[in-house]
Amino acid sequence: MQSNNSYESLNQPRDEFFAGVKAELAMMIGVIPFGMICGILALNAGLPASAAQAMSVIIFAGSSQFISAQLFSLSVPSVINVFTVGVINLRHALYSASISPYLKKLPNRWKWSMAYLLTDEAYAVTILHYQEEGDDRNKHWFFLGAGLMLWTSWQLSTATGVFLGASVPESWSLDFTLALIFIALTVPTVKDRASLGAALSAGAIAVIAFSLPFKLGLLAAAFIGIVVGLLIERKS
Amino acid sequence: MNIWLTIILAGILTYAIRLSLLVLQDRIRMPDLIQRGLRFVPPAVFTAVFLPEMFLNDGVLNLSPGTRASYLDYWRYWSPGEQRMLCSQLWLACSPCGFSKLWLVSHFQFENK
Repeated sequence: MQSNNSYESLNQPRDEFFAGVKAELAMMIGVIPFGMICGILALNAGLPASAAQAMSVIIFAGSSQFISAQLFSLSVPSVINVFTVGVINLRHALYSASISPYLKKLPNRWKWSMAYLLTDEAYAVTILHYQEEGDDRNKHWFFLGAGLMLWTSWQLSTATGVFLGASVPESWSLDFTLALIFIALTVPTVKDRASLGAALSAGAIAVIAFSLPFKLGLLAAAFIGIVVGLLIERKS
Repeated sequence: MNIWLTIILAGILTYAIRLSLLVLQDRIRMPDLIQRGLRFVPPAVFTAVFLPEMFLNDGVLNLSPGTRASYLDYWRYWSPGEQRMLCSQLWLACSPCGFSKLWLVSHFQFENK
């Protein structure tokens, strides 16, 4: 991570913020149905509307909300529900590690605030932005813009799902929505042979290890992908 | 345990996970190898998320093309120009045209299993 310190490449906080909002806008068409489905699922699990919305505010992590709602409907013990959410969201620790060097110099209030906004979609556009040329010093504003954009649309789409309830078409395929969002997130991150190798090996392991509980296959795939990426990088 | 307590604990746990390395990295020194490995987090994790999703049918993995589970079939419904653009443009993948076209395909074409 190199910081280009030329004055010309330092953007103003306001410009960074709106660039973040704009970058996140592209995700919305995939995120909005996902949010609605999470709201509906929580309602269908028997949660009151306030609790369904609260999941999006307090947990603020789509795939774990999706699973958690199903666990509520199956009356699974709460300890298991909480634990499952934690394991599904473990990949966010990788995001935290990956973005931490860029946020190192920020005051604690920024770190503690941005941690709340560290979702897949906000992380994806932000890490790409940090990896680009240009002075890093105000890029946390980009992160804030992207994160707030996602937060707002997540709350609104959950609320819409809760409000509309059963009248949203059940045929909306969540598998499809998730795949679409993540394909869009992945493409710009594959920049060289090493990252392509990381992606392909992680994908293969994720398919093979899919039946492991708690989405542990995903974590195994991530680690193997990282190792493969490092090996390819070392060879070249 | 009460629903609200469950949600709050799940939220605290998720937040702690996200916060973890942001604060810990000040206290621990990350080995150089790990720092270099972190750049592979996005391609590895995102692919690990979407690739299995493309082969799922009601939670069961199905790798044969031509079935409802196979999103490889969706690929044919995009024009070659759109396919090229899908591969290279972040925003187009989520464009209203592309998304709604695929949604319509999935809704009408694959409803009869």
